[in-house]
Amino acid sequence: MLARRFLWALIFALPLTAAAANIEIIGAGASFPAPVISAWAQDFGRETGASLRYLSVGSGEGIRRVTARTSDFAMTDVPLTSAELNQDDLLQFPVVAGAIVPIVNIPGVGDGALILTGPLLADIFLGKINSWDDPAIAAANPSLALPPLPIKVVHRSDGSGTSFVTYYLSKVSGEWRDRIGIGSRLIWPVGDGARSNEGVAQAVEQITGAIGYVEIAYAEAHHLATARLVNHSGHTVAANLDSVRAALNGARWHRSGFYEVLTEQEGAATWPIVGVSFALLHKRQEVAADAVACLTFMHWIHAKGTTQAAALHYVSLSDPALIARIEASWSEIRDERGQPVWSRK
Amino acid sequence: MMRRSSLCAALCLTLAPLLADAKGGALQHRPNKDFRELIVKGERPEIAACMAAAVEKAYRGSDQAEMRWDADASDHALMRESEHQGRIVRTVEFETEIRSGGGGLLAADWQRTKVSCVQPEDAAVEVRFTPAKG
Repeated sequence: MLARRFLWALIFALPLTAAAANIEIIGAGASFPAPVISAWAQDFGRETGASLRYLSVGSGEGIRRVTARTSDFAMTDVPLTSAELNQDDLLQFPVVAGAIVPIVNIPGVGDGALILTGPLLADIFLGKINSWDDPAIAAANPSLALPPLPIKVVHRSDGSGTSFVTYYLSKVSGEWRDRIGIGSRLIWPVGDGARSNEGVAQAVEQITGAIGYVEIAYAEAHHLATARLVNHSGHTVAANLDSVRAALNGARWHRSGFYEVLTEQEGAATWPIVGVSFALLHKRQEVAADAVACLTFMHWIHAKGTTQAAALHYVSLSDPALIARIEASWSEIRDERGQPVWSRK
Repeated sequence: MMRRSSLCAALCLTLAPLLADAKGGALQHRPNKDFRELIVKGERPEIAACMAAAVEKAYRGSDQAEMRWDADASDHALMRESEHQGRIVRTVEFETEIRSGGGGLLAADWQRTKVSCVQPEDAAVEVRFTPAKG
């Protein structure tokens, strides 16, 4: 009896290393969380000996690869509904959040100086407002002397990084919702496409009069001027960790698959374009050890990922009740014999 | 022994769908594709459930219709989301071509058709076909 108790105590006391060592995990998908996933993977690898490769190929391609079982997990910016998850026997849960910011290159306009409303941003991306001295922009920025300069829209061309912006634009503009819609990739009415956050940042940096959108870390890295936005509550806010946390704190995560889109959230301090990346794993796993290694990585993120995320301008999940619900959902992941692969409490 | 005319008719019936499709190089003929196959083929994931449900409805319908669509149909698809009483409802629209008659010589002409899907977050997809404008 004592021996059995000792054995169980030993099993539950196993360090994270035991589950993940000598295993290579492959993740693929959204480019939005790629910097933080890669940083986490390095730290996790150093600590556990596991090898984790994350391929930043876009949400759609990530879903394609996990569906084809050529990656162990996917990260997606477009959450799947429960009906969609059930069609491919997938489990979905949120991992990390961050801000998407409009970036501009307007002579004489510094970081945070330009203020845009949602409808203004939509009209710019629809091509209806095409000069920086447009009266509608001037009305929102009475203290700025905006030049008579053509607006040059830069958007993502690589089927990635677009989802959050289109969710936002669909909420603030009926015309965007009915003409263009939401999507991981779609046909933009105006502008030029650039590959990846890096490509959009570089293009905006080089083109006078340009406006684009990137994950906030890329705006900082390129010293680009970001615009402040008027949020759902009518307050003008800047993108930062606090305004992302404010949006995250308003999320309920009550739907199946934790389906939640954090754009245009209520609250005086919320940034209105907050992206959440969701992990996708198959509920039925052929190689249980790989699934355990993936979940061990996710558990490690919950336990130790916060500081690294903040350093890279992301917000990882910190609500213990939410984390407990997410980890409880992992019991749905089963091995070939139908046994749960995750039993850590 | 099969007579020559019967053999010719059988061959024509077999080859007719291939010949009919040969003129439309940019069109993708996708029989019996399910959600997983569509995703693996690279369609937009948020559109794939609607595409799969549309194929199912066309093929399982009373007239055994066939369906095909342009290679960039999912790029041009329109997806919207709304919330009703706390439930997310996703609507998807895209254009396709449908013909009834199950292919072969008896098949009708391809008709440009708008597919409209309503996808409540926790229920099956409802599909509607209407003639496409233009």
